[in-house]
Amino acid sequence: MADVLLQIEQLTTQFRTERGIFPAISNLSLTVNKGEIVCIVGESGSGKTVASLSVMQLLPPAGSIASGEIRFEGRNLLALDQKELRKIRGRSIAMIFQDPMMALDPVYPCGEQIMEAIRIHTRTSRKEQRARALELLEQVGIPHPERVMKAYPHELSGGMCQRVVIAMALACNPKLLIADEPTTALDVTVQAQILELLKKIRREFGMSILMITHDLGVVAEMADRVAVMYAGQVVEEGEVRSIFHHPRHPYTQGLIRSIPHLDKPSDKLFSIPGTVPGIAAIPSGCRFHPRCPECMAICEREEPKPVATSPTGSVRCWLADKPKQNGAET
Amino acid sequence: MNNILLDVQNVKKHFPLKKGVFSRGKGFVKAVDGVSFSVYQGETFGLVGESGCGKSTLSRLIMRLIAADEGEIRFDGKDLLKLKGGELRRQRQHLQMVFQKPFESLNPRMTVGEIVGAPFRIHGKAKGAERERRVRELLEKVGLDPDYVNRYPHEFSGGQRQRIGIARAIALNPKLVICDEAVSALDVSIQSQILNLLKQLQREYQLTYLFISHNLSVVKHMSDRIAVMYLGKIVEIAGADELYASPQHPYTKALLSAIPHADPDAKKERIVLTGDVPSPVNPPAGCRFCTRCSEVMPICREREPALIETADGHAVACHLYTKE
Repeated sequence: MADVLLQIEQLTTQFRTERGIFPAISNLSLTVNKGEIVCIVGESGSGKTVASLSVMQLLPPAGSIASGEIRFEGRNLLALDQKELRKIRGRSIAMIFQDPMMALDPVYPCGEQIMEAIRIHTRTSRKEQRARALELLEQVGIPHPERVMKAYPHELSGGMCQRVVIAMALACNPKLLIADEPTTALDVTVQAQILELLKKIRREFGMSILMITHDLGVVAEMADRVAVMYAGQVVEEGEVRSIFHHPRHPYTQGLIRSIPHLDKPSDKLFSIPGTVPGIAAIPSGCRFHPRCPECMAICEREEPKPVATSPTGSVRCWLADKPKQNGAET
Repeated sequence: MNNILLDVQNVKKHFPLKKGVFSRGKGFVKAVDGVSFSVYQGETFGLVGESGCGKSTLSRLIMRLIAADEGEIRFDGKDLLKLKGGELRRQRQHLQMVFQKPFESLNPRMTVGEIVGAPFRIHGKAKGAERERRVRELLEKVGLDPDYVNRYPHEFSGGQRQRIGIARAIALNPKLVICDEAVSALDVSIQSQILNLLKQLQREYQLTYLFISHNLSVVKHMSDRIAVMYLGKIVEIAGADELYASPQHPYTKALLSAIPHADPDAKKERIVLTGDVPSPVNPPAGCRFCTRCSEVMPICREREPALIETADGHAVACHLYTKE
């Protein structure tokens, strides 16, 4: 299983703002193995989207990567020039976004847009591109591929558009698919369809997926491994079962207890007090300490380092540094 | 049973579709097409459905923000649809709303004090120092610092803004509060804070909620009874626990099975619906769900099923349950 595809090491991405330069993510390390689905979960402002944009180096002009390494199949992506990068983007690493309507160009038919993706990365005739586009549309479960080839994005529903975007992402058989909140804009029944589709793609093409989401339900359903982000850091990482059944970090514990469960009725939901700090107001010490129910003196002073909890898991918390406590698990 | 606070009978709203220079009618969007339900005093009535099913239109109809084409909405014994001018405005103080988008539902040019004080101003309730005192009290009630009165909405986070919206909604001790996707724009940790706040306020002020959301887990957590909407119709109404334990309508079953469980070991049969929700301009004839239903029968394409009670307090609109 230890066949590493993407390795992010100590990545710090900063943003220039009117009030100075602030890191949106700091010292983020994350690995995606071949054929694995890794989910980054976190609340808005935790830096999960910045992490995914950093991998693709599609950061907005105000953002820049300050330090760290992003290795894809052993190559450091940060050392590549634009031309080499362009070969990787879309071909080896593809990305799908939250709002499928925004990801498609409204003035071209969908088929044309899929064919463009094929055209850019391979030497093929228009006829071959067309045939491939039709094949892709079929693979993503679109009922009338010929009709959708000619359709403009506004003629399709959100779920259909997301399928077209996924078809486009699959055009060159990428090894890694980065999916940033791919189902957030969709209804539950359509979300279920798209999640099934992503799983099918992973099964059939052996693709790795790095999925970004705020929905713990989606995480439980999709992920092999999970990274929980808070205020620009990964605070806990591990196998999906250990994260859900034995969360170690108080933030992960709080997050899991905050969601209402269908089968467990409760009158009062657990809630984490306060809000996620902005990048300009990161607390000292452990970034979660102002909201943490188990905050100790050391948490306010010193930032905890990630501590290994299993061969593939780690947690960034002072509690984990001590021998396991009873209160640390739920 | 308790008293009925809100009684909606056969309400319809069809939006005309216009096309061309002469604005010729090109059919209608049947957003809400014959919906009936009642909300009892003190309960939370949940309304779930996917986008486009008409749940927001329905909430606007009840608030009289738009006029219904047909039907009757009785609130506290009065027919809201027949009220006009001052009388309608007087009724509205008992009928408040918390909106989905905390960034768009607060006027950016007004201070928090002015926003939360607006209901008092409009209804001529409290003035001057008294109003200020009430506003501060309300802010404290919703968990905000009373000294925020002179700040502007942009200084607050989404969760805090939603608290301001809630303070405004409960300012006049309303009888009914409509929460239209009130927590959908919030993060999970903030969402649970707001849900707890809403429950606490309900106990304190004996509020009745009409709680509209597409998030079934949230609706289940909040509601006593739930109605499921599909394409402008209610397909099933039942007590919250009953609905989740034994859903009857094939759509409700599919909807429930589609929710991702926050438990990686949850093994369940998923009913994956094919296709999308059809357009409300040309809803399918017969049962509106017949195009996606796994148990479709010939009669479903011909006759529309009526909403009938199959068990105590459990009503469903499906031909599977109409035949003897």
